[in-house]
Amino acid sequence: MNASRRITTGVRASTVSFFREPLNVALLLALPALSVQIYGVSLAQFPDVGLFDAAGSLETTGRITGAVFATGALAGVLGLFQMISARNADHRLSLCGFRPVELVGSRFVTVLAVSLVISAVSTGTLVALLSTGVGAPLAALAGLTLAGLIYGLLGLVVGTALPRELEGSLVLVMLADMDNVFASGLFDIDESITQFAPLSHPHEIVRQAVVDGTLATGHVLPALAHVFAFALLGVGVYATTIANGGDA
Amino acid sequence: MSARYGADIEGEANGREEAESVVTASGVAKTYDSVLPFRRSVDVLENATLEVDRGEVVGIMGENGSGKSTLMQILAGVLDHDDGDVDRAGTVGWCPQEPRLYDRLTVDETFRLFGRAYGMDDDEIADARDWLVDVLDFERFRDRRVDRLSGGNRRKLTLSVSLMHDPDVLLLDEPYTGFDWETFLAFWDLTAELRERGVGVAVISHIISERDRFDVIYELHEGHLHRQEVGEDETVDSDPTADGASCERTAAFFDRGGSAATDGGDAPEQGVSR
Repeated sequence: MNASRRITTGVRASTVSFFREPLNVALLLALPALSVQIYGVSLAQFPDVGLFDAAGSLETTGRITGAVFATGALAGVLGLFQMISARNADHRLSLCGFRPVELVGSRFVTVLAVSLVISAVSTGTLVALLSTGVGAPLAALAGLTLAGLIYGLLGLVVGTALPRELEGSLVLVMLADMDNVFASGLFDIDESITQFAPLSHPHEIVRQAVVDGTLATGHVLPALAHVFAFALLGVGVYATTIANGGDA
Repeated sequence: MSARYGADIEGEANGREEAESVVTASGVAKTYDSVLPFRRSVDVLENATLEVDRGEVVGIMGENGSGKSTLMQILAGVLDHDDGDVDRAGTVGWCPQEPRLYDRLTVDETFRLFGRAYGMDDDEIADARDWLVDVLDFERFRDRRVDRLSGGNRRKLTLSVSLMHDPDVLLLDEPYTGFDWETFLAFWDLTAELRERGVGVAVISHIISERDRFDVIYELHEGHLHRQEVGEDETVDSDPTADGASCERTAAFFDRGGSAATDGGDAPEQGVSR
């Protein structure tokens, strides 16, 4: 009973903390729209002469890639900031009775909640900006949520191991950018490499949802495996940090 | 031995009734090792021995960088020590030097979150909150975010979080930095009241003029603790030093519902389960 009350209070506290920051809300609303638009317009400028290996039109592929990048990068940076701002307070809270596993649970649920919101905004932006529409919006939302969750957890890991806002953000944005290039399918890169890019499976789920209107069931399990792997990594790094008094 | 801060310790005996000493450290040593080459390790504590009895106010003094906060963190169970023993009887309240609070939560939300961590229910949290914001005079800031509080009010909240679960021993690292004069006096009233009720209190202090407020003073010098008994005629003045009202409010908090003892020998029944 006490554990569930503590987790509920912890989730509410960290979610409220997130949405109470105007910059977070502004980024949440503006970044997906900007990213979807800029990626879409940029790729649409290239003549379709076989330079890229895109399944749909270049504009559609660009907008999908922009949505996946915005969701992943934003969730990652917010996971990072959440961890940096809370690590010392989390340590004190754990001394006061919050078990580390409850704290980790609270952080994960918060990342999930924030990822859902970011994904909903990104999906809404895709629906609004794609002239062809989104074939299966719920499947697209699921794919984007997985992208947000993977990078939100990665943000927690980076924030725990590298608790610096500038350096941590740079690492995450660069990772998301490279990952997104692999995942986009624009270049003919060997699948033995791209399958390990964390965003490749969520990207494919979103692409099939938008272009084919179906759920790419073959990519759900690998994407969940990435979530599980990053969650495990996050628990280990976080528990070590809390045990060390908030210092990695 | 790990410290107990309050949660999930139902059924355990109350330290105030069982042990004379609430914190004992003997032969404690601590060295900060450098993980980088060409940087020397720093020996902070060597054979440090200290005892805090229940109903005793202990001062820990020493120059900047002498290791007072390190010692306090070791006593609180926050930091590992390399050698020696630390024993604690009962629950611990630790007020760190830096706030360690969540910037974007309000004062009320902070009480709720930490109260939950201590295993307190809604009524217990509300009672403790009302008592502390009243005694430390920051009731009008209850809806304000932590990052928008003044330094003094943030300090009051940090202190309150360490006190709200009615611990058996309070470990306070420069708790009144930034306090105005009235709050400073109210803090000492509160400390005197807690002392009367059997709480052991250890305070890191820099202020020489406060020496007569302590029962015992430990001077930390070059890693060693030197114990100094404060003379009988110099012991804590039990008279209120502020307006006296804060003592009454504290007494009312502990006596609410008529279940709490007031002679300092018995533990109050309220607050966190023990």
